[in-house]
Amino acid sequence: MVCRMSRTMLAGALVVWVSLLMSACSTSVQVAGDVPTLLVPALSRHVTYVEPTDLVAYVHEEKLPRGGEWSIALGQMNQVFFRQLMASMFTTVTRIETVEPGVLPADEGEDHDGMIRIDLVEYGFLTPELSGLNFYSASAKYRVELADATSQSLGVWQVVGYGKAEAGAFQAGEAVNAATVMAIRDAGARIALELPDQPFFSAWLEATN
Amino acid sequence: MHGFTIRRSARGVLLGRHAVHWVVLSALATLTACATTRVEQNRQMQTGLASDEAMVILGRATYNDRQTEESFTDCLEDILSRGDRPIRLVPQKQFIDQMYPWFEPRTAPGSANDLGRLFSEPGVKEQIADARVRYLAWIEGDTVTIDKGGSMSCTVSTFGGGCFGMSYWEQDASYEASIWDLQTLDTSGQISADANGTSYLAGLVLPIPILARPGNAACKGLAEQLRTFISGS
Repeated sequence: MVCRMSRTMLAGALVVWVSLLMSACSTSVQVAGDVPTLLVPALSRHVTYVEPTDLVAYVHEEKLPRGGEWSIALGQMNQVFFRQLMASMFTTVTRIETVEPGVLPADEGEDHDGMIRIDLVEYGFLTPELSGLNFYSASAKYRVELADATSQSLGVWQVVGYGKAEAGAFQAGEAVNAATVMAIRDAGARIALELPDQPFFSAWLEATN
Repeated sequence: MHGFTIRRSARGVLLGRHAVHWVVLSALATLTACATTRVEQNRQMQTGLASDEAMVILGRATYNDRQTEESFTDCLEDILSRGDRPIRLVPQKQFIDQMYPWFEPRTAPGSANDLGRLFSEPGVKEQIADARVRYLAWIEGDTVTIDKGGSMSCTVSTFGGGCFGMSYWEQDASYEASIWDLQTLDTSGQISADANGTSYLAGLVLPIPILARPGNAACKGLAEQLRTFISGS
């Protein structure tokens, strides 16, 4: 009886140990953070925000040489952040979702001034083991495309957001989350402040004034 | 321009009694090593904080390999918001969110000279006035390990185990607070705090840490001087 109990306990301990070992080798991060409202006056334009399915379902998966397997889901954060950004940047925003890659949907007689599409082109992150620094860092490259009211593309602008966060003991997931949120915020700040200065965008603002 | 230097030194050693084993272990765990703190202040203008006015403590974030630790600004906030003369603080995160995108690492003003440009942006002045923020304290610096050595080995066998040897590491904590007056849009002054200390890990069967915590010492020194500076006393 005692022997059977010992075996059961030993097997249980082994299962717990193996589970711990496996969980230590893979990290799953659901990126989440605060979504601020822009302290920048909204442009008095009616735009259609084209939201690609890939943007809101984006999951980055990577196996690092000395950092295990990572799965970083940043689609949900992209969704809430860029919806809020568009709503703060323009006075009127209509949103449409699309599964089509890289093209703006045909104009369907919408009474608007233009269309904006945002895609996540590239995402990457670094752990302290790889960078040699005491930080986790992340970068997110977005492609912003503007089209006029007839869906004619006016220009494309690519922007890279960067973020980094302290590396606490046993808090790798939290640090990657914080760095990724910072990268998305950084890209958002650049879109809000620098996009209106891009020649194709300012020309569109002039044309729709 | 006024400047002065304060030197502080703290040393504390607790020795447990041998009568009760766990008391000894607890006491050993709280052994602290020496940390020497040096605080310097440079005042450029008179300061004072009305009861309804607030201050924001912001850690300077850069894109290089150095950055003020969030734990350090948290420590400052914790000390300044308590005590006999608490200062009303707007939390860093809340302030940065309310001011988005003007206080992100890429866009934050680099010097008080940039405040005029920032305040000319629509809504910025009003937002700061609504929050009743009078001072910004930018914190720059970090804690680094400047030396380490010694060796320790731990073994476990069927007959028991233990750790033997001694290792040490010397840390230097160097921070500076630059205080900006959002009413005059100018720099009120700077306070710097430097702390240095060596920590030890002694292996006497059990590993016994003797920690200096210079970052904590710098935080306490800077916080108390910042309180005095802001209150104008």
